[in-house]
Amino acid sequence: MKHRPILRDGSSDSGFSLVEVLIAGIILFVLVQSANRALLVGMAGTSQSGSRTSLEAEILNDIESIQAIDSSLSGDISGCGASGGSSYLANKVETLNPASTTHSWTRQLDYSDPTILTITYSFIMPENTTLTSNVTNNTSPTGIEKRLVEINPSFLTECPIK
Amino acid sequence: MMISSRQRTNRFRSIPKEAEGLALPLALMIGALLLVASAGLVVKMMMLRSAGAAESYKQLAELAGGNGLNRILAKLNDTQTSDISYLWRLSQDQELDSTGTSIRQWDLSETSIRPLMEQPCSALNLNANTKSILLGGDLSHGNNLRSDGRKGSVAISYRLRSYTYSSGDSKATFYIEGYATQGSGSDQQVIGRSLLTRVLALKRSVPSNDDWGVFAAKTMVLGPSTITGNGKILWLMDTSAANRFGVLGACDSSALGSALGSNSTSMQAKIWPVVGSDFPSPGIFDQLSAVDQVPASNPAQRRIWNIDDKRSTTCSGITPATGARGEAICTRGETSTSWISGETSATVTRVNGTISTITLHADTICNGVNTSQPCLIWMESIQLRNGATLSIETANTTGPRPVVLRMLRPQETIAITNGKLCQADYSSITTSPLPCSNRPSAENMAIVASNGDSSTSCSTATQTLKFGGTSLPAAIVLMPQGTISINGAAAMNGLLWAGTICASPGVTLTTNNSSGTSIIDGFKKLWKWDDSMTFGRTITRGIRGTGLDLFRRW
Repeated sequence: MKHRPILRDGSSDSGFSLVEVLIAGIILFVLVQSANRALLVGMAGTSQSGSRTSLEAEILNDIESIQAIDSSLSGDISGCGASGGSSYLANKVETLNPASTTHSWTRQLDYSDPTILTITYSFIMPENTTLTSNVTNNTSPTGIEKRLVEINPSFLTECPIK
Repeated sequence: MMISSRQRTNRFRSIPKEAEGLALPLALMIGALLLVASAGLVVKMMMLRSAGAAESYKQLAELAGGNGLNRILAKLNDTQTSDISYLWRLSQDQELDSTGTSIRQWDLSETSIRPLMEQPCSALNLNANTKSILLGGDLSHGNNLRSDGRKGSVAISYRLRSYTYSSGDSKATFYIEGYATQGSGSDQQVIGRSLLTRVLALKRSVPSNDDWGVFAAKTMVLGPSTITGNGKILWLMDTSAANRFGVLGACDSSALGSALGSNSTSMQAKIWPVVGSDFPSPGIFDQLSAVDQVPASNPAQRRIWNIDDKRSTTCSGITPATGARGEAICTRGETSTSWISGETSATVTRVNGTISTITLHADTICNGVNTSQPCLIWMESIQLRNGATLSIETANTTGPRPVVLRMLRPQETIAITNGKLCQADYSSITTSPLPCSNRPSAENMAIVASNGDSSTSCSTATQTLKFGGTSLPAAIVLMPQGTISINGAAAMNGLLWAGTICASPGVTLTTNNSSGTSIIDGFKKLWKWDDSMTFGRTITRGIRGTGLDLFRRW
């Protein structure tokens, strides 16, 4: 019995067999699926990148707002009292620039050192897809990112020297 | 019509011959294209993650630099717990790969650092703990700042690369390295770093009235002089003279007292050396004062005064006629060489021919303008050597009206060797001389000279103020290049600032007025000294707001 060649020369009956077409279809399906998956992941990455940019911009904006409050207090010696300059600045920050509850980050003010106000921003890394809460936990579960800012209140330089 | 299998086969044969065999390459090309596109998307995703992480580390490193600056500022400006503000005026180079000789003045020993300091006898309070904060440290408070599954914690820290003090413009420049790191110990890896450059302005402040210089000179012999009330004795010196502080014990009060000829223990404790600073400018009196002028002169001319209670001639230099006396008050226009007499019964009182009182009434100086603006009088000479009292009315109907006696030429003097120069209260009587005030405010009369030969000798000085006893009861004296010579144990209320003070007989300087008010406060208020003007023991603070943070990668 004579086998028919896979590639026809056109001189005899041409075309792919059903098996060939099926195999090609399966390969194509796998490739399209992979491409689709990569496309989705890529789009998600772009979205996460945009979220990160937006989130970081919000935090930087908040930092600048606090620095502006600090600058505006230059010459204000009301904060020179016994409670400490950082406590006074923290109070002003909470009053003039309260942390928004709608943001996807949180802010904590620490004024235990009278000369340094420490501000801690915490947020869930946009690239993380598992963690969705507990951003203030200092144990830093995977997926949490922080920014630490320390400010020496400007008005302390105006305080009377003891 | 039925189509036979033969006919169907013939139909397939109608495909052009040149198109045959392309299906497989096309399928492979499409597959390859899809593979490349997929790989590209995967690479893009990975790059976005990587870029996101890099941006995070960059931000962390920049924040670390800024936080480090704030920590250093907090320490250097903190005068409540431990004053180390003297470090502001020294430099520290912590460059790791420094090619030249590093300037590390913060590290110097006491005998090496004191000659470099502006105030060599400041307390050296820099301890190891504080220094470690100034030079760098961890900023993470134990937090993992980016828990992205890495093996070690992500932390931030800072390091002072260099600090430079510029004395010319009183600026301070910081270079601070900020780091984002992963892991700890030998496994620590730097994943982000930045270099922060920040320029700050330096501001001096005098902590209290007790730190103001009330007795200041470059050369002085103090003898038994004392200060009653607040204030310090400022010993102004240039940089080369500061080498004397390169030995241990040079700042002991006894050593300082010995150097200035002081034999009063309380006085010795008030001596405060200052290097590279100078006296306040006499211009502070000029700019606030109206100048006494020749009445009705056109163009306006300054009026020059010459007062002598023992002058044997008239103002024009003629020997007076028999029975007449020499004239005590002579004036001229600044461009004129002819003197005219200012002596009348309203200004001079004589007892048996001898002058007892001379008065400059408020309505005769500065054209009698009845304002509270200080009046500046140019003096060529004042000689009180025959027991006369020269009273100057330092008030008018509106209240105090300060008077500035401005010495004209370098060779002239104000000598009160036998007499008194005092302030007179306001009086509606303008027809006779006025007595000295019982409660003068020293800040209302200033004796100012801007010339002189900067003599360091008490015997050869020019532009000199001589007095003794209570002959100058209340005044502020500013003679940056002149000399104050005390010719007998003296007592006065006021401030004495002169290039040279020769006070071997001793002067008791009281820094409160007889009314109890502080002369320093009165002086600052009257002569409009704001916080930027200091003269005394000072504390330095770095002020932000004059420059921006500059970050750069390195």
